[in-house]
Parts: sequence; structure tokens; C-alpha cells
Amino acid sequence: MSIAYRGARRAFALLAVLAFLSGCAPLISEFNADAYKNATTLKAETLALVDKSGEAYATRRIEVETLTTKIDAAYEYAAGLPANQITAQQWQILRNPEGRLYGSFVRIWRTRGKVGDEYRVEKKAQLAEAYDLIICLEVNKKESKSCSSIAAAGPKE
Amino acid sequence: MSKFDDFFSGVVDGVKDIAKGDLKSLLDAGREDAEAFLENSKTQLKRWTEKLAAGTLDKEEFTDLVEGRVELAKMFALTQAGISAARIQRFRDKLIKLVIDKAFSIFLL
Repeated sequence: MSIAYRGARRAFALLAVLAFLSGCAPLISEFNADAYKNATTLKAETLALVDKSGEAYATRRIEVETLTTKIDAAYEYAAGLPANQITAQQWQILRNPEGRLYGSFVRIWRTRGKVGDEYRVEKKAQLAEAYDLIICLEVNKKESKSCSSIAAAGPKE
Repeated sequence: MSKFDDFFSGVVDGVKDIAKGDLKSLLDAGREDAEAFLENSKTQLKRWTEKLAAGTLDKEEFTDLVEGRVELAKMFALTQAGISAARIQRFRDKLIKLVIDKAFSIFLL
């Protein structure tokens, strides 16, 4: 095999790889400042609401409905971004009214009227962790960081 | 050695450096986060069973927390998948930049 032929073959292979890479669709969306703000703001609002769940649901019903609408809007926003299916799925798990995160918290509060002290503490930590996972993914779209360090730097439970 | 051979070996060396940094840190960070998640799960489950036994959590609350943890595991897996995709995307972008920069520096100077 001549040197010229080998060189041409390498060049062709390199160009083929480059053409393939540059033509590929993005694997995941870019970092989005609004999406990040949605997650951090709603985390704070959700945890503040959980703190009030020792009170009668009826007195906080409007606040719950308002927050639920905001969380639904955050899901819709995430689902509307290109190449953002993974983040949209995370919001769907968090908000699902039949699920076991925000959905079950509201369900238990509504059906029981009030939420027990220990459950409130534990559910608050669980919901904080759920938001931290969404926040961690958004941050990692911009730069590589471990989720533990992001959660430690964020708002406390 | 021809200019193309210089270019090709420069690209190969550059790819090795990028892979060492980006792909190795991807594996390390993923393992660190997975270990932290499992450790948290263990600690929480222990605390919840103690509270269930003490009567400060009832059956419905305990079940909800455990099933909530399962939902969190799904979210954790999605986070890791997304982080991997973002890092692979950055690796791809650096690779394209490396090839173009090497070509310019060797063939145009």
C-alpha cells in the first residue's frame, strides 16, 4: 500500500467522522437561564408551602392551586425547548398528580386536611432533592459539576 | 514525515487529552453521585422505618415516602443520562474545534 494511498484513506476517514459529528443534531438542549430560574424559584416556593401544610388545607387551597399552575407552566416550558425531553420527563415525574412526589404531597394534605409533623419534614427533604436533580442537570448543560456540590451550594431544605 | 502525518498525529494526541479530561471526569462524577444517592437512600429508609416503628409516621406516609424515593431514583437516572449527553456533546464540539484548529495551524502557516 503506497504512502499516498494511506494518507488519502486517513484524510477521507477523518473528513467522514467530522462530517458525521458536525451534522448530528444536539444530544441535549443548551443551558437555559429561564429554566434554571424556574427550578430554583419553584423549589423555594414549594418548600415554603410544605412548611405551611401543618395548617388546614382549606385555608391554603388557593396557594396550592397557584403553585401547581406554576409547576405545570415550568413543565410546559421545558417540554417546549428543543432537545429537552430528559428535563421535561423530570418535571413530569415531579408534578404528576397521580405520582409520589408533589402530586402525593398535595393529595395527602387535601384528603387529610393537615399533614403530620414528621411526614412534613421528610417530604420537604424529598421534594428538595427532586428539584436539586432538575437544577443539577440544567447546570451541567453549561459546565460539568457534581450534583452533590450543587445541592450543597443551593437553598437549604 | 508529511504535513498530513503531523496533522493526523496532532489530532490523535489532542483527542487523547480531551478524552482523558472529559470522559474520565464523566465516569468519576457519575460514580460519586450514584454512591451519594444510594447512601442517602439507605439513611432515609432506616430513619423512616424507625419513625414508623415509633408511630410518628403512619403506614400511608411511610409508603408514600418509599414510593417517592423510587420516583426520585427515576429522576436521578434521567439526570445522569442528561449529564452524560451534555458531556459527550462538549467532547464532540471540542473534537471538531481540535481538527479545524490543527488543520489551520499546520496547513495554513
